[in-house]
Amino acid sequence: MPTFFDDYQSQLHDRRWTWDDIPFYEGKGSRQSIAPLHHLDYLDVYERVYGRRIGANGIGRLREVAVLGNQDEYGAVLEAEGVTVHRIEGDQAPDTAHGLLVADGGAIAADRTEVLAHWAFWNLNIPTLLTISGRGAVAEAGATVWLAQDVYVVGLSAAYTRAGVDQLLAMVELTSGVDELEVLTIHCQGRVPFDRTTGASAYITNLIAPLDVDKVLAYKAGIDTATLLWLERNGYDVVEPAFAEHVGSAVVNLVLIEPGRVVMTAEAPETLARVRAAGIEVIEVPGTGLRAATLEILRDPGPRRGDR
Amino acid sequence: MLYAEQQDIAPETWARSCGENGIGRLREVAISKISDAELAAYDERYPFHEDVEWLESHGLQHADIGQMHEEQAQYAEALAGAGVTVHWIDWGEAPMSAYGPMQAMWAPSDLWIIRGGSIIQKTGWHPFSFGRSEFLARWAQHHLGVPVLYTVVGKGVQEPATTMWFADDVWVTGISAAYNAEGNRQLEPVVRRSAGDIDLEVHTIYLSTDRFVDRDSGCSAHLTNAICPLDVDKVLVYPSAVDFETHEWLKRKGYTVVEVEDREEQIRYTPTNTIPLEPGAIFMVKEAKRAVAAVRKAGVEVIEVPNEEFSRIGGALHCRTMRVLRDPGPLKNV
Repeated sequence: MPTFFDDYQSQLHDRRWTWDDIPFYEGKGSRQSIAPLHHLDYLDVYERVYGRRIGANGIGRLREVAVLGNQDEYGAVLEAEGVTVHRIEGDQAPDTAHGLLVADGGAIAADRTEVLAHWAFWNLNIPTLLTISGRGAVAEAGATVWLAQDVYVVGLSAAYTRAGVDQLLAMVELTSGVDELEVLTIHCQGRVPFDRTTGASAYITNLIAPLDVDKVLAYKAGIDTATLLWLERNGYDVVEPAFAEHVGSAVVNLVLIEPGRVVMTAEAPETLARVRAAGIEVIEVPGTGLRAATLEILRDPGPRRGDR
Repeated sequence: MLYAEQQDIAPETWARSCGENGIGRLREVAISKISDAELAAYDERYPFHEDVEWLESHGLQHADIGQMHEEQAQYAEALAGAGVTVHWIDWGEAPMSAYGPMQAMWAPSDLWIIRGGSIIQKTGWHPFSFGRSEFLARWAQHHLGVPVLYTVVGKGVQEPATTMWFADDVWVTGISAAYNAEGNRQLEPVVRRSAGDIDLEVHTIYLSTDRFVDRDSGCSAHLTNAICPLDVDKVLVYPSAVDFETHEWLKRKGYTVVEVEDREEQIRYTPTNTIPLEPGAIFMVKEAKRAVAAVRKAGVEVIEVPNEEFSRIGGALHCRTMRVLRDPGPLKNV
């Protein structure tokens, strides 16, 4: 099967090239200066190198995802929303869509997500920008959250250590394309991935999700007070999930299609009603852990914190 | 053009050992299958042949493919003869860079592999090089099971495979057309993590010129054309191509310095562009006879490799070799 890379190589080969295609060409007999090449930002060149836009930063309209091949119904719902859906399937395909953060320009991979990173690079020409590495460095990059183009949420817990988060943030900040990135760090509660008795979780995707540029769904008892205060001071409406649906169906683990429109589990009717009451359009699908089941690949640029 | 159909899926697990983090014994490399694609930039279907001066403004030249084939076959034989596993990189019929036909596929050292994975470079001196390191990273991940550890982003420029280990605890980088301060700032922590518990010493060499290679002076943007390790306490240097502080640093560290004394030989063969087989044994350009003799005189075993045509068009053994795996090697600072 030809891959995205093969198709792009064919396009490059077949196009009619001219001198106008050469960046900073200064005319016949000139020498290629290194100065402008040294001034190029990665974000200026990666689309030419890889033949595609890459990155799901922010909360702009969702354009492209990958899901496991057995997620037929969920995939169809996303396609009906105009999202391009790649199916992860085949003998050597990874068994999860979870683990990568596809940031602007490429993927950030947590430890043990190399198979998914390989799948994305080989099939979709999405390179890995960073694999979290080194002793004590843990960062489940795929389980982090954007609240706006310039607001990014990470955690500290069993799923993210300071050493891992430092690596993750260094790369996100270099590729975010915004002048000032606001980073919120949720100090997660407890010791286990998801405590079904208290609702505490090590994964912030179970604790907070964007609904709109000024609205979030958040389980407050799992989030440190400083983060909650930041949300309040910055004018966010916080919708809280019903406790039983939070612990039973991980209802916060949702996928935002665009500001004001989300895909959520149908197994949480009370929370869905609260979200709808906040003015959000909700598309219900069976199953839970939707965000974890979705490799978000591309979003349009979306609103920034001040765009209300 | 369909790489997925041309080549087998890598059978290796993702937990494989990989990388060179020093000058320990070389175990595994990848080198390029040489093809007519090396000449594509001169092809009349593109306009670029109309301005050869621009095309060759950084020192790369039109190649004799037949001779390159021959020299590459002899290099593969020399590597295999030394017990090194050799993988062959198939670039396909017409690999394309981001800005036109790709050039210098013969130089797969554009991908650096260290413990834990590869580093995708951000190139700084010719548009037709954008995409080469990226191709190699994808290739190495798929065929050799080497994950990507880091991509140089932002305004960083770093061609890390041309930086250099002098020992498992001494890494040498540069500032030149091929490396800027931001590139080094990004790369250093990645290298330190890869080195693990080793107390890594990092030395920066300030190189000259504003191009890849200056064929009048023999100076170059790549460290590999200026200096190389011969053993844990011996180096080969083209003195005019490295900064004064580096000479002082070498002295302070107690290195035995063998010098490339013949400017003509430097310009024609860049004798420092070598591949260590292990401490005290090195693959060198056969045609660099005076340098080879000087290195042997210093007690280093030399395996000579023909490189006449590669040297003429712009590179030598280090450029020709993607180092996939080395054994742990000696420390310098003990």
